[in-house]
Amino acid sequence: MKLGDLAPLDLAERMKRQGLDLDTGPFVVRITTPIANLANELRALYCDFTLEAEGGLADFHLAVRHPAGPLGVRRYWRRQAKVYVDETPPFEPLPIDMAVPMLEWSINWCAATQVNQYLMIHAAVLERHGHALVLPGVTGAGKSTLCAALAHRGWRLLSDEFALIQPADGQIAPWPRPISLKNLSVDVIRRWAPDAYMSPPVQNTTKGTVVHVRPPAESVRRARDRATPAWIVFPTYEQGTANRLTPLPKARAFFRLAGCSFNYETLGIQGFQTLSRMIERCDVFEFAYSSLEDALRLLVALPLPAPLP
Amino acid sequence: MSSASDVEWQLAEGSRLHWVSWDREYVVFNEGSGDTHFLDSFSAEILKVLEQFPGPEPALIERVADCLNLYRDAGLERRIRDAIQKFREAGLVDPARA
Amino acid sequence: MSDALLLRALRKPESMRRFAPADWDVMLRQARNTGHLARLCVVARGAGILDTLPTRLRERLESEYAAVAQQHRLIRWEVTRVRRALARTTVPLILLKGAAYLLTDLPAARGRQFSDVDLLVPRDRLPEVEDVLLDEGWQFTTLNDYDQRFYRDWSHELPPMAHKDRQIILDVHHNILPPTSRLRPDPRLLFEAARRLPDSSLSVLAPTDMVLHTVCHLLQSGELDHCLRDLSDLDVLTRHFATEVGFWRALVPRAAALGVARPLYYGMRFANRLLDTPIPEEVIRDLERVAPPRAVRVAMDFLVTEALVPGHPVFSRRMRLARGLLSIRYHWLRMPPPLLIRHLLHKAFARREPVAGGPAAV
Repeated sequence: MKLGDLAPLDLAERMKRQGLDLDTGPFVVRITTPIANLANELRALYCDFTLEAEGGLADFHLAVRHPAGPLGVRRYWRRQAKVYVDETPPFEPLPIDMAVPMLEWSINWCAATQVNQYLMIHAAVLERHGHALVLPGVTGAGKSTLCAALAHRGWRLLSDEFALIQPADGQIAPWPRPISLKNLSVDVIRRWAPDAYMSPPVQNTTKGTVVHVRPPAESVRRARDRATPAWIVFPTYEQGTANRLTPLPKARAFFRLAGCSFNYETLGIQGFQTLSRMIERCDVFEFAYSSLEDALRLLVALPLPAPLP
Repeated sequence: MSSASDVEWQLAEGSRLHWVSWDREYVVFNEGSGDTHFLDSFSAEILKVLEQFPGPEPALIERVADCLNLYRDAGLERRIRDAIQKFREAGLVDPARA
Repeated sequence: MSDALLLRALRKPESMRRFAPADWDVMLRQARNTGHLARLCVVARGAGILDTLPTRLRERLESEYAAVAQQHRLIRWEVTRVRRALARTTVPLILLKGAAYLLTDLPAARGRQFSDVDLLVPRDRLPEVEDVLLDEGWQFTTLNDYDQRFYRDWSHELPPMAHKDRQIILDVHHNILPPTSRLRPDPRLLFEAARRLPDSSLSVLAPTDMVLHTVCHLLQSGELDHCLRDLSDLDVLTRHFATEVGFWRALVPRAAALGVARPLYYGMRFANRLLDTPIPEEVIRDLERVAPPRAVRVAMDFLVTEALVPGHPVFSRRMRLARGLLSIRYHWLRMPPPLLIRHLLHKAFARREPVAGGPAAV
C-alpha cells in the first residue's frame, strides 16, 4: 500500500499512535507525530512511497512533537516543534512551520551518523540510460537546483543529497526522497516544472526560504534500481558565466570527494578502495554554468567514459 | 650536522600504505593511522623508497637520486631532507629507535 | 526490566532467531541507546546467526561494528605513539580499560566502543609525564581554569589531552578512583601486580585488578548509559579470566585488599542477574559476607534494574527517576557535598547546547 492510498484521517491516527513505517528505498523510516499538518504534508510529499506493515523493523525512528513545557504540558508550546531521534532530541525546537525541513534534516542526520554499509558522499545523483551522474555539493553551489531541473527533464532521480555507493561493486543505490530547494531556486524550478508538487515555503530558516519538491513517481517506483557511476561533475552556478566543463585532475577530485563524504574516514581501507575505484571508472569535471537549459544540453552530450581495461 | 645524517628513517611504526595515482599525482592511504595523504611525484618517489628501504639518510638520498635519475647535488639533498621532515610532521615516518 | 529483549539477546544470542520483527525493532533501539550495537554484532556472529537475521538488522549491526573497528585501529595507533613518546622516560606505565583489552586481544575488546586511551602512572611521576607529552605535541583539551583545577585537585587524572594532529583523547590517571572518593585503592598494589606487554614498556593490570577496575566504575560513573556496557564488560572479562588458574580464588581477597569489596558485590550481583554471569559457589559465599544491609540491597536492585535498560524504547518516568537517584549517588561517592554543589552548579551553566536549526553540514 502506498502512503497516498491512506485516507487523511487514518493517516493522522496512525502517525499519532504507532507511527508510520515508510519504505524509502534503502531504509525504512518510522515517523510518529501528533501534528496533523505535518502528517498531511508528509502524505503529499511521500504519496508514492510504500508503507510497511505495522509492528515491523525500522532503520530510523523519529518523532516530531511539541516540546514539553512546565510539568510536561505541551499545550503552551504549540507554536514550536521538536524532533526526537530515538527519543533523544538532537536539535533545538523550532517554529512549527519548519517541521518538514526539520524532519528531512533529521532523517539525513540519521543516515549520516548510522550508516556504513555504503560509502556516503554528499552529492546529488541522477541516471540516464543506465549511467549515473554524481553532482557533489557544497551547499549553495547550485547542486539542488540542477538536480531538480534534471530530474524533471528525462533524468531519473536517485537522490538530491546522498550518493550511496556499494563497496562490493561500486553501484549507487537510490534514495529518492523529496528535493530541498532554497530561495531563488524555488521560483526557478516552479517555472521549470510547473506540475511538480512543492510543499508550502518555509521562511526564516538558517538557509533562507526552503521548499521541498515531491520526487517524480517514476524515481520512487524504481527506488531499487541501482546505477553505475559514469560522471562526477562539481557544479558551480555563476551568473553570467560561459557554461564550461573542465576536466579535474583525479587525485584532487579524490580529496574533494573525501571531504564531502559522511563516512570516508570511518570506513578506513574500504573507504579508500571504494572511492579510488569510483574515480577510476568515471570522468571527472568542474562545471560552471549560468543557464539551466545550456547545462542540460552539455550534460546530456557527455560521452561515456572509456571502459576500464 | 653529522648527527643529523646518522638518523635512520622508517615508516611510522604500525603503518601500512596503499597507493593510487592519476596523472603523476598520488593519493596514499595509511591503514595504520587512518590518514590519507596527497603527494606530488617527487615526494611519492621518496616515500616509496623509504617504504622499501628504511635506513640512514645518506643511503636514502642515494637511492632516490638513482631512482629519479637526478644529479646528486646539495639542492637535491635539501629537497629530499625537506620532504622527509614533511613526512615526519604528517606522521608518516619516524626516526628509528626503541 | 531484567527481561529486556536486549539482555535476552546478549545472554542467549540464538534466541534472536525466534524474535518477531517488532522484537527486533525494540532490541535494535535498546542496543542503540546503550551503545551495544557493535557488541550485539559480535555476539550474533559468534553464535553463527548473524546471517540468519533480516538484512536490515544485520546492516545496522554491521554498520556500527565497522565504526567501532575503525576506532580500534586509531586507538592502537595512538597507543604506539604514546609509547614512543614516553620511551625517553622510565616511568612505569599501565594501560587501562579499552586500550588494555585491545592490546591484549581480550574478548572484552570485541565490539566495544571506546574513544580514549587511559594510562595509569605513579602520582609522583605525573609532572614528568605531563612535561614529556607536552613536549612531544600533546595539548590539553580543556583550557578552562575551573575544569583544570577540578581535574588536578579533585579528580584522579590530568585534564584530558590530545595530540595536536589527532583526535584521540589521552587520560592520564594516578589512581583508578578519585582521591575525594570514599574508597581508596592503593595504586602501589596495582603496579606491583601489573603485567608487562611483550616487547613493550607498557603494562596492563593483572586480571583480578582489571575486573575490579570495571566494578569501581560500574555504579560510580556519572554516565548511566554506560552502566550496562560496564556490566557487559564485567561479564565478558570474568568469563574469560575464569579459565585462568587462581583467578576466582584471588578475586574477593584482592577486592578486600584494595578496599573495593562492596562495588565487587554489586557488580557481580547485577552481572549475574542481568547477564547470567557464572560465579562459583565459594565466591558467592565470600561475596555475601561483604553484602550491604538488606534495605540498601533492595533499593539498589530497584534503581539499577530500572535505570539500566529501557523496558520500552520510550524512557519512562520511573527510569528517569532511577537514573536521577543513581546520578546523585555517583557524585556523592566522588565528591564531598560542598564541592558537589559547586561542581553541579558550574556544570549546569557550562552545559553545551545541542545544535540549533539543524546541522549545517547536512
